[in-house]
Amino acid sequence: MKNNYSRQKATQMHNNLDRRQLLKWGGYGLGGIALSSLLKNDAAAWDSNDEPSLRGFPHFAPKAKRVVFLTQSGAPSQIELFDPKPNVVRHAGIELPDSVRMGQAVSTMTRGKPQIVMPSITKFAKHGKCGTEFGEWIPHIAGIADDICVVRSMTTEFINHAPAMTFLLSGNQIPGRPSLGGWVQYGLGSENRNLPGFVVLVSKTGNTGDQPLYDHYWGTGFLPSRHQGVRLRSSGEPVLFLNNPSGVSRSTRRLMLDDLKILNTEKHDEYLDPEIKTRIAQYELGFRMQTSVPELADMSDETEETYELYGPESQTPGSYAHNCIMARRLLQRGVRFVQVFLGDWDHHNGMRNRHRDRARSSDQPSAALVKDLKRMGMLDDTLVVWGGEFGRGIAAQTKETDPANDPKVGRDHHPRCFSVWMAGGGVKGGTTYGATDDFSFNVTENPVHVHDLQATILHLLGIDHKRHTFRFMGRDFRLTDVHGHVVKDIIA
Amino acid sequence: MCSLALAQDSTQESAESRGNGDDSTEVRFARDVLPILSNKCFLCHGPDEGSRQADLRLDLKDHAFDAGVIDTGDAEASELVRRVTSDDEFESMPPPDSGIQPLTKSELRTIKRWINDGAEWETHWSFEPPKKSILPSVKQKKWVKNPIDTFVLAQLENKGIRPSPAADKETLLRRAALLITGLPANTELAQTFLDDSSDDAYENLVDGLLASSAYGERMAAVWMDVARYSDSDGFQQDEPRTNWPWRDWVITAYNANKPFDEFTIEQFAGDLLPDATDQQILATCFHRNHMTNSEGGRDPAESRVDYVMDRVNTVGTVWLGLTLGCAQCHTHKYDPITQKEYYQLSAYFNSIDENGRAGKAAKPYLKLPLADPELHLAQPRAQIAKRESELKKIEDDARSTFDDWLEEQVKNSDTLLNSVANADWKPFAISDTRTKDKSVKFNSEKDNVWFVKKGSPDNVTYTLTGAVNHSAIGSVRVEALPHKSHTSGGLARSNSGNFVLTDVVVNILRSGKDSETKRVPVKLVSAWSDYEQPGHSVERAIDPNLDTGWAVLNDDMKKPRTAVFQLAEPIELADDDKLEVQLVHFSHHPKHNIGRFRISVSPRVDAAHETELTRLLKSKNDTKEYSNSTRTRFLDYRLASDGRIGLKRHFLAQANKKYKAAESKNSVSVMVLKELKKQRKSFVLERGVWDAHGEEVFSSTPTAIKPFAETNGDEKATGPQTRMDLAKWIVDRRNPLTARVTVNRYWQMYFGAGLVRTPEDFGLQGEYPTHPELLDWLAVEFMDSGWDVKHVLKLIATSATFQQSSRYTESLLKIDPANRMLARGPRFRMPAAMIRDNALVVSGLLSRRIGGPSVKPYQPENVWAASDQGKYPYHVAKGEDLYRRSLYTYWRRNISPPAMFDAAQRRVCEVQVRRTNSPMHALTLLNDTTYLEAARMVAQSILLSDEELAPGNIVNAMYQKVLGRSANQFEVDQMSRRLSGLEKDYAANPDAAKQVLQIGDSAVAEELREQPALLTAATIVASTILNLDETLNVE
Repeated sequence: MKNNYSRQKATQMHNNLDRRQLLKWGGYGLGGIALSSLLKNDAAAWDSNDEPSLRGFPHFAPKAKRVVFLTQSGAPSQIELFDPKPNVVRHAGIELPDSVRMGQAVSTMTRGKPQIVMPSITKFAKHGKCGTEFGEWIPHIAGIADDICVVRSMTTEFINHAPAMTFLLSGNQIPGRPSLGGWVQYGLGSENRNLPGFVVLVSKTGNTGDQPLYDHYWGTGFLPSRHQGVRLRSSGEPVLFLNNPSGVSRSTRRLMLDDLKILNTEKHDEYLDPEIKTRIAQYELGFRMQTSVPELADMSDETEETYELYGPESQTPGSYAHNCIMARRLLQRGVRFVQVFLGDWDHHNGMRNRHRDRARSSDQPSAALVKDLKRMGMLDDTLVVWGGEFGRGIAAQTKETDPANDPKVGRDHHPRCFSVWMAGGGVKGGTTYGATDDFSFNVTENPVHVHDLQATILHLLGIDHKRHTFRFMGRDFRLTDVHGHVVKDIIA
Repeated sequence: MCSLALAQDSTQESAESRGNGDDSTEVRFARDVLPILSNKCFLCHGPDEGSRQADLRLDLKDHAFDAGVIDTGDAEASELVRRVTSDDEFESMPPPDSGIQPLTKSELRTIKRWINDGAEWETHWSFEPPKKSILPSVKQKKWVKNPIDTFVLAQLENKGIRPSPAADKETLLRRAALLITGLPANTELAQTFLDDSSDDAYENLVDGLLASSAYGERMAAVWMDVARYSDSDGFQQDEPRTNWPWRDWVITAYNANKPFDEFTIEQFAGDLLPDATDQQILATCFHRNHMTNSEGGRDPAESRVDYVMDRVNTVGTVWLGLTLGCAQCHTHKYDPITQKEYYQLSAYFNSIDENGRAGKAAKPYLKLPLADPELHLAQPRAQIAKRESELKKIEDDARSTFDDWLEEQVKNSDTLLNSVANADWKPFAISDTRTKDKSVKFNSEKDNVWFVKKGSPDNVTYTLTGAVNHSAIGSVRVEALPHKSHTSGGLARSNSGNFVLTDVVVNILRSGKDSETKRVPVKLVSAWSDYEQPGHSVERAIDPNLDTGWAVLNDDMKKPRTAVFQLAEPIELADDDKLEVQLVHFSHHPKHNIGRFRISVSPRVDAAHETELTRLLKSKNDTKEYSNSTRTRFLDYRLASDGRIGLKRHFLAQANKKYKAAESKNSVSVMVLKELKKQRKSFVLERGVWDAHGEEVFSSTPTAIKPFAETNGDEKATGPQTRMDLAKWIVDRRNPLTARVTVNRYWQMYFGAGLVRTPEDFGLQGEYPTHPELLDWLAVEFMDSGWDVKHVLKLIATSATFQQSSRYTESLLKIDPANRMLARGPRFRMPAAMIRDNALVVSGLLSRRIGGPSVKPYQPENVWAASDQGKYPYHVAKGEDLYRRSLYTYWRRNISPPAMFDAAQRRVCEVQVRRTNSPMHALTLLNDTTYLEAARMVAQSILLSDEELAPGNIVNAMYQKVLGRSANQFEVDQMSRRLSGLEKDYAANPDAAKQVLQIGDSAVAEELREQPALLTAATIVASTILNLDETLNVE
C-alpha cells in the first residue's frame, strides 16, 4: 500500500469520492499534488521521520538484528540452576564465614538471623559437547548447552526487586529512565511498518502475591513515548482500544479515516503544520494495526509440532510457553525487541517445590524458542537473553536450625552474583563466562556488571552504548550511565 | 522533524543557537561560549573534583585564566584552541575515546572570536539576578499591545520577519479559553465576546476566563504533574492514599490568586507558620506526594532517605530549574553545586517526623474534617430516599390487598395444616459427602445438620449419600441454615451471605445383581419455598437451566430458609436403598454455596413445611376473631415472606450501611510535613548511598545561587535554618531563579514551549532563552506585582504575540519551524486530559462539580487486574462521576489511566511536556467509550433541535459545537454526504446501529429512539469531527 494508495481504490469504496468530487477538490485547494502528498504519509510509523540510518545507526555492523529478553522476574537461583558448587557440601548447615560474607547486607527478611549454608538442592551434570553443567531442574535448557553462553559472574547493586529490575532494564534504580527496549527501538526503529518495534508479553503465573511488573520496566522515560513497549495482552483486546466498537465495521472505520485524511489534509494545506501529516500517518498505522495485531495474535497457523516443542502449556493463552511462541511470531515479523516476563521466582520459602516448578515452566519453552529460531534460520541474527534481576543467597531462609530438615526452606535475595544465559545473535555458544567463589557468593573472575550486560546487548545490535545518548535535563543520558564495558570475550 | 518530542526538537535547535555562527552579532560568553565549554569540557574540567583531569577547571574565571590555556586577544596562540583543533590522538580534546563529539566548526569559530574579542568572562546567565532592561525600540509600534510584544518584535525586526496577522475571533476565543481554563468557553462568555466589537472585548474575555473557577482547575492540573501527585503510593504495594484534599487546596489557592510567594511558603512550611491553620498544614502535602515504598524486605530507613532526596530534587526542578539530583552521588558535573551543598539542602527535609513507611503508616498525617460532609453524604442519602420510596410502594401494594390475601389463607388453612401435620418428615441420614473440589470439608453436627467447615470455591456441587427411614419418597426438604462464620452471619460465605442453589438432583441408589449399584433418578416436578428472591424462584432449582437457581436475598440473612421439592408420585423404597442428593451451586455469582444445611424426606408428595403462617393459622381460624395484634402478625408475615419486599429491604439496608460508612468518613487523613522535636543529623552520603555517611552537614543553600547569609543572616546567631528559611530564600527577590523558572512554565502553558526550552534546567546544560530580556522582564514584573500569577498570565494572554494566527508560512516553516522567534501564535496538540475535558464539554456531559475525592471514569476491563492480579479492583463510576474533569481521575501510580497518553508519569516531578504522535493515541480517541459516548451526545443534542435539519445543517451544527466555528462548504459537502451514506448503511443494519447507540451510560433520548440509523450515522460523523487534527489542537 505504501505510496500508492490509489485513487481507483479510494473510489471503489462505498460512498467515497467519485470523479466529480475529485474535480471539486481543486476548487477547494486540494489538487492532485496535495492528494499524492497526503497519501505518501503512510510511510511514517514508529520511526517516522527520524530514519535511523540518517542518524548514524547502526554505529557498526550488527551481529544481531533483534532481541528477545526472557525476563525471569523475582530472581532465579543460580545455585540450583547454573552455578555448580560441589565443595560447598562440606559447609552445609554451618554459618556462612565472614570472610565470604564481607558485610554484605541481606534483606530485612533475614537480617539479624544466622546465615546457614545450604548447598544446592539439585544435582548438576555435564551437557552437550561443551560439557557445561546444569542443575537437574532445567533439562531442556541443558539440552541446548552447545548453543548458549552461561554468564555466571553477573553482579548488580540492588537487593530489592523493583530497584534491581528497574536497574537491569533501564540502567538506573529510580524509575523514569528509558528502558532497554526503548533505547533499542529509538536507535534502530522497527522493521515492520504495521507493528510496534518493542513488544512486551507478561506471563500469567497464577500467584497473586507475585512481584508486580511495572509499566516503567518497558517505559520510555524521556524518550519520545512512541518508543514505549507495547504490551500485548493475553485476554481481551491484545492492545488497548484496538478494536472498533461493536456496530462500527471495518469499512465504516475506513470511511472515517478517509474523511480524517481529507479534512486533515485541508487543514494542513491551510496551516502547513508538519505535525498534521504525521497525525494522518499515525491514524493510518493504527488502522493497519487493527489487522496486523489480530493476525499476529491468531495462532491457528501454528503446527502441532510447534506446540509439542514448546510443551504442554503452550496452548494456554497467557502462559509463558504460549508467550514464547508469540515472541517468535513477533520476531518473525521484524519486531525489534521482544520482552517476555515470567514472574514468581521469588521463593523465600518453597525452594524445593515452588522454585522447581517455576524452573520447569521456564525450561522447555525457553529452550524451545532457541531451537525454533534455529530451525527457522533466525538464531544467527536474533539475540536471546535469559535472566532475572539478581540471584539467590547460599544461606537458607528457614525457621529450622538445620535447613536440611525444612521442607519449606527458601533463599533470600543475593545481588553480588547471579547467572544469565544468552544465545544466538553473535554470542559464542557452548561456553560459560566468569566464575564465583565456592559459595556462589562473590564473583572471583570476569565480573559482568548489569551495565556491562546492557553495553554488550547494544553492541551486538551494532550500537555503541557510549554514543547512544539522548539530551535531557541538560545532560546526554545513556542506558549505561557513565559505566559499562562490552564483554568482548563472549562474542563469536 | 516535528513529530519528535519537544525535548528532541530543542536539542537539535540548541546546537545552532549555541554555535551562533552568525558573524554579525557579538559573541557573548554566557550565551555563546559557556554552553560549549560546559558541553564539551566540564565533564573533566568542571566543578566535580572527583572526575577532574589535569587539575584544570574551565568553569571558574580565575582557574581558567591562571591555567594559561586562554591567551586573551590571540585565539591561535591559546592552548585551549590548539587542543580542540589538534589531530594528535593524545592531545586532541575532547579525547576521542570520551564519547563526546568534537567541536563543530561554528563552535570553534565562536570560541576563537570570543578570545580574539578580549575573552570577557561572565557568570552563567541564570545565576545573575534578572533585571528589567529598557524596552528596545521598534518600528511597528502599532502592533505592540504590551511590553512582551516589544521584545518579540525587536527580535523579529532585527531578523527582518513580520509578525503574523491576528487570529480570527473564533480561533482566538477557543485558544484563550482552552489555555486559560482548560475548557472551551461557556456559551455566555463566548457570545458576549463574539458580539462585542469594542477594543476591550478580548481583554474582557481574558478577565472572564481568569475569573472562572475552571481557571484554578486548569492551573492545578499542571501543578499535579509538577508535584507528582498520585492517589496511590507506587512501588510494589502501590497502596491507596487520600491526599486529594491537597488538590482542592491547590485549586482554591489558584482561584483565590494566592500570591506565588505565599503559595510556595505554605507548601514548604505551612506547618511552621505561627498558629498554622489546617489549610496551611494541608499545603505541605506538596512535599509528601513522592512515591512511598512498603515492599517486603525493604529497609524503611533507606526509603526515608529516598523521600528526602526526592524533595530536594523536586525543589531543584520546580523552583530553581536546576538538576540538583546530579549532585546526589558526586559534585555536579556542569553546575556549580557541590555534593556537600546537595546534602546541606537535604538537611532541610531530613527531620520530618516520618519513618520511611508507606500505605496507611506513612505518618505524619493531618486528620482533616471534611469541609463539606455533604459531598460524601448527599449521594448515599439520595440512595436511601430512593430505596425507601421503592419499598413503600411495594409494601403499600401488599397492604392494600391484605384482607383478600388473609381470607384466601384462612380458606385454605385446613388443607395446609393437614399437610403439615401429616408430612412425616424424617431425616436424610448422610453418611458420605463428596465434592470435586478437595478444599471443601464437611462437619456433621447434631440433629442431622451438616456444616461446610472449610472451602468456598466459586462453584461447587455437594454429593450427599445416606439412608432414609421411610418406605417411600414423595418430597425432599432442604433447609439452609445460618452460621456465625458466614457472611453477615447468613447462609453462605458469599459477598452477601446469600446462596444460589442452581439444581437439586435426587437419585435412589439400589443394589442390583452382582452387588452393582444402580442409580435410579428421581424426577422432581414441583417446588415450594418459604421465601424466594425475585428472579430466583425455587422452581429454578429444578428447571433444566443449570445456572439459574433459588436464592433468598433480603435484609436479614440470618433467617433459616426452607425449600420443599416434590415428586409427581411417591416412589417406594426398598430396605437397603440409599438416597443420593446433589446440591448444585453453579451460578455465576461466586461462592454462593449453602454453608450449613439439613435435608429431610417425606413419603407424601403434598408434604408441607411448618412456617410462621401455619403456626398463626393453627391458633386462629376465624378472621372475625382476629385481634389487631394478630392481624399485625399476619401482615408482618406477609410482608416478610414476599421476595420483592425482602429484596427492597435488603437494598435499603445496604444504602443505610453505605450512609453510615460515609458518615464515618467525614474526616480524611492527608500526608503532611511535621518537624521532629529532635533534629536528625545530616551527612554527605558517599556515592549517594543511603547509609554511607560522610561529613556531617547542616541546612544551608548553594552559594552559587545566593549565599544564605545575604538573605537570612548568620547561622550561629539564628540557630539551624528551617524549611521556613528555605522557603523564604526561594521566594526572596534576590534569588535569581525562582521567578524566571516560574514565568517560563507559564509561558510554556500558553505557547506549548517555554522561553527557556528546557524548563527543568536553567543550568549550564540547559538552553539559553530564546528571548532573555523578555524572560527577565516578566520575572521582575512577576515579583514587582507581588507574585501575582493572574497578572502575568493576563499579560501573556493579551499580548499581540499570543494573539497572532498560528498558521505557518512556507518561509517561517523554513526559517523557524519550532517557532522560537514567535512570529506566529501557538499551535500544539492538547494534553490528553484536555482533549477529554473538551469532548465532555462539547457533548454536554461534563460535570462542573469542583473538588473532592478522585473518581474512576470508563477504563477498559482488566487494566488494573493485568498488573496487580486483582489486588485492587477498578469499579467504574456511575452517573456524574463518569464525567468529571480529568483532573479528578483516580491516579494509580503504577497503572496510570490508559487513555491519558503522554501524561507525566507522576513518579518524580516533571515539568517538560511530552507531546508525541502515536497510533495508540489514534486508537484511543477513536475507540474509547468516553469519546464514542461524547460523539453520540454531540449528535443527539443537535438532532433534538426542534426543526427538521438537513444533513448540511447537522454537520454545520457539529462544527459549531465541537470547534466553535461554522463548517466551510468543502467540509459540509464531505461530511453531509458521509452522513447520508452512513444513515442508509445503518438503516440496512439496525443491529449495528443498536450496538453503537448502546455505548456509554447516558441514555438515548426518547425522541430519537425511532431514528436509530440517523442518530448512529450522526454519531459516527461526530466521532470523526472529534478526531480532527483541529479538534485535538489548540491553534
